[in-house]
Amino acid sequence: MAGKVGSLFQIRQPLPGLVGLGLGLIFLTMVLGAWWGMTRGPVEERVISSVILPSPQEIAESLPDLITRRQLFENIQVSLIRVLKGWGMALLLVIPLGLVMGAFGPVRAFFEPLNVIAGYLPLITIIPVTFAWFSGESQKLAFLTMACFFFMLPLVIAAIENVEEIFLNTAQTLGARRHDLLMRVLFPMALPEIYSAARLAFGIGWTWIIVAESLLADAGIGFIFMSSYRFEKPHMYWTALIILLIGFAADQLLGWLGRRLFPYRHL
Amino acid sequence: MSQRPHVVEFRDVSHTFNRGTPREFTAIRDLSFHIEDIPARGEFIAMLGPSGCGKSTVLNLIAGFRGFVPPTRGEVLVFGKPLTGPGPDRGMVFQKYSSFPHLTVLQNVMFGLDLLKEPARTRAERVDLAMEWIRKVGLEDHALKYPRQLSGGQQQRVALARSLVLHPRIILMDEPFSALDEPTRLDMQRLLVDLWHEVEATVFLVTHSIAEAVYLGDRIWIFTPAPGRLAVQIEKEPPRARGTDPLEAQESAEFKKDVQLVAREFTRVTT
Ligand SMILES: Nc1ncnc2c1ncn2[C@@H]1O[C@H](COP(=O)(O)OP(=O)(O)OP(=O)(O)O)[C@@H](O)[C@H]1O
Ligand SMILES: [Mg+2]
Repeated sequence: MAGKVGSLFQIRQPLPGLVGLGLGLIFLTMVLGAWWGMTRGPVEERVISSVILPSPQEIAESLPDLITRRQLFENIQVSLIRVLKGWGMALLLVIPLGLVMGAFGPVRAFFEPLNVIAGYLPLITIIPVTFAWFSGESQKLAFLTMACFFFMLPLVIAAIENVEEIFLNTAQTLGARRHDLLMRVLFPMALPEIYSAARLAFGIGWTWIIVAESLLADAGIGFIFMSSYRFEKPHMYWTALIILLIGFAADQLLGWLGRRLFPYRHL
Repeated sequence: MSQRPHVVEFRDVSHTFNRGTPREFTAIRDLSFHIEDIPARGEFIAMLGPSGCGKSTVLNLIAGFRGFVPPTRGEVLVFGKPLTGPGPDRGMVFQKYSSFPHLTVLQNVMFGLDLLKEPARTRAERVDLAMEWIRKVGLEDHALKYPRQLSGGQQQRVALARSLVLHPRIILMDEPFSALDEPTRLDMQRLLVDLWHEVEATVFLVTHSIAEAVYLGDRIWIFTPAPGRLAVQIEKEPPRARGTDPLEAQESAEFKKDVQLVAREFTRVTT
C-alpha cells in the first residue's frame, strides 16, 4: 500500500481517473464538513455567527425564494445573453483583424497600438471608460466586446504567426496564390488555436460581466450577487456557486465542441 | 532551328543569408549549370554534399520561395524565364512532413487540383483523379485518414501523390526519405521510379545516401563545403534506368564499384 501511494507521487505519473476524481471529492467533503461543523446548532451557540456564514441548511432553504422572488433564471438568462452578444461581437471583429495582422506586415504595424493596449491595459480600466461613453445595455455590450477583443487579439495574431513556413511553401508549389494562402492555409491551420482563445475568452467574459453587473446594473446574476450581499447572505452564496458552475459548464461544453470540430487534433 | 529553353539554368548564382548583418553567410557561390530539355524524358539529378553546403538552398532557389527570389547575385532561369515565385510547375517534397494536418489524405491530394483553373474539372472528376494517385502510392485504404494517423513513409507517399497529381515539369526533393528506415526507403525508391515514368519530369533529389544517388541519378553532383560550388559531376546510366530493383542492384559488383568511386570523390571534394 505504502509503495503504491509512493508510486503515485512519481513526477508526472498519470493518475487513474477515479483516483483523481476521488481526491477532489475528498477535499470538497472536508470543506463542506468543516462548514457544517462550524455552523451547526442553534444560532447563538455556533462557532461562526449565521450573519457571517449561514449553515448549509439555511442556504439550501433560501433557494425557492431566490428562484421565485428574485427571478434567478431570468437573471441568469440576462447575463448569459449579454456575454454571448459581447463575445460574439468580439469574435466577429478580432478573427478577421487578427488574421490580416498576422499575415500582413503593414496591417500589423498600423494596428500595433491596439496590440499594446491588449497587452498592457488592465481590463478594469475599461469599465469606467465604457460608463462614460455608453449607457445601460450598450455599456455592458461595449465593455464585454472590448474585454474579449483585447484578450484575444494577441492570441489570434500569434496563432496565425505560428503556422509554419513549410506549409505556406508547400501550398505555393501546389498553385496557391495569396488569397488561398490566407483562406486555405493560414486561417484553417490557425483555427484550433483561435478556437482555444475564444474558449478562454468566454470565461473571461463571464467573469467580467459579473464584475460589471455588480458595479452598475438592475438585472443579471452579478446584480443579484451584489445586492444580496447586505441582507440575504444565503443568496450571495447561491449566486457565487451558480456563477462558478455556469462558467465551468460553459468551458466543458466548448471543450467538448472543440474535440468534435477539430478531430484531427485528438487522434 | 530554335533552341528549346533549358529546364533549369543557373548563371553565376550566389546566395547570401542575412546580408549586411554580423550573421551574414554565403551558402553558395558562383554556381552555374543548365539542364537541357530532352523531349518526353526527364532527368534525375542526385545532389550530394556535406551538411550545410547549400543543397537545400539550391532547391529553394529553383522553387522560388520567399527569401530566394531573386538570388543575391546571378540569375535563376526556369524554362528560360527568370523566376518570380513558387508555382505548380515545380513540385516539392520536403524531408519534414508537410501534409496539411487539418485535411485528410484525399483532401491533401486534392489541394492543388482544387486550385487549378485549367483544365476545368468537376468535383467528382477531381476526386477520381486524386483517388487514382492515392492508389498509385498505395494508400487507398487510408484516403480518409488524417496525416497524424500515418507513418513517416505513408506521409511521404501523400506528399508525392499530392505533388505528382499536378504533373509538374520539375520535382524538387530535399532528403525526402532520410527519416525512413532502410526497407521503407527502398520501397519509396521503387515507388518514385514507377511514378516518375508517368510524369517524366526533371527530378532534383538531395540525398545523404550515396547508394541512393548511384541507384537513381542520371547525374550525380557533388558540392564542396559552404560556400557550395559544384565540384564533381558524374554522368552514368543508373541501375534504375535498366529496370533493376534497388535491392538487387545493391548486390552487383558494378554497383559496389560505383558507390566506392562516388564515395572517394566525395571525400576528396570535402576534405
Ligand atoms: N534562412 C537561413 N538563414 C541563415 N542561414 C541559413 C539559412 N538557411 C540556410 N542557412 C545556412 O546556409 C548554409 C547552407 O544551408 P542549406 O540548408 O542549403 O544546406 P544543406 O546542404 O541543405 O545542408 P543539410 O545537408 O544539412 O540539409 C548552412 O550553413 C546554413 O546554416
Ligand atoms: Mg538541406
